[in-house]
Amino acid sequence: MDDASQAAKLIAIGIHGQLSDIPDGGEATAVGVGNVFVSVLGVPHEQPLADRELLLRVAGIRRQLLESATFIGIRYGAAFSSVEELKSRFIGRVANAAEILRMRRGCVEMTMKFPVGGAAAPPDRHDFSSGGDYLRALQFHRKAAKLDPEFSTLVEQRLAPLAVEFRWRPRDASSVELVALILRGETDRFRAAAETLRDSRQAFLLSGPWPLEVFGEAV
Amino acid sequence: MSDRSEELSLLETLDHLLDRGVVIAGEATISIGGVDLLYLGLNVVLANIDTLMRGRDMRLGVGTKKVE
Repeated sequence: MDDASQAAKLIAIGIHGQLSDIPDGGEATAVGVGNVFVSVLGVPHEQPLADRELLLRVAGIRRQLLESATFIGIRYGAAFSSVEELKSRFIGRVANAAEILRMRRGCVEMTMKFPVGGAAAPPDRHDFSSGGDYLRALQFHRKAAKLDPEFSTLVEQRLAPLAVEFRWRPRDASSVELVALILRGETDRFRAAAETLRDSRQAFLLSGPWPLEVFGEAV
Repeated sequence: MSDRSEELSLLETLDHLLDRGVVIAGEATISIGGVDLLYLGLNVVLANIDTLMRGRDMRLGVGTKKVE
């Protein structure tokens, strides 16, 4: 905790259910908030968050933390000037985070991204006299990407049995993704099942395991 | 691992880091060398870091935005 309290800037990485989930001797240190723990990386105040080395360093720490235990991933960019400030920002989330971690302990996320061809061109701002109309059209366009229903059914048939839970999400106008919550021990089986879909004409990018990100939101 | 695979892996890693996970209220603005970074997505971040640095030096107001 000393490292965390003395650093000029604390970058929050994840929310963990137990102190032992953040290994001693690692780059991340733990800050207790209520009955959960936030992993943080202390960096000099002058180090910009967009520093490439820092991004990669935090990505590496996330990977190491996930090897230890399930945790809720925090979107990069949450930085605090003191432990007290961090605690004040997190305290309202503690109860829900603890419940998520209790329910989903032992799980990780796997992601499959599917490019969707033939998407219409995005709306052009110049075609709209109202900014609101443009934003509505843009939002509609972003949600318009759809996967072939037959293929998505096939995906679900092969992968759903291995998942605790899964969700389809539009990523943007030209891709959708399947996010599966699976038990840590099922990652190899999930990967193998997903690879059987390579026989289809639909391309995809399989990645993971990841911490609770999509499934780290409110229960 | 091939260069292409490594590139995809890195992009995916950064995509998850920057565009996933719970959002904590009051996130700090991501900035590069004093220039607020307009975070529209991973591609912007990756593509524009160098551009922004050059842009700052050239005093060009390139894509600035806050994370929130």
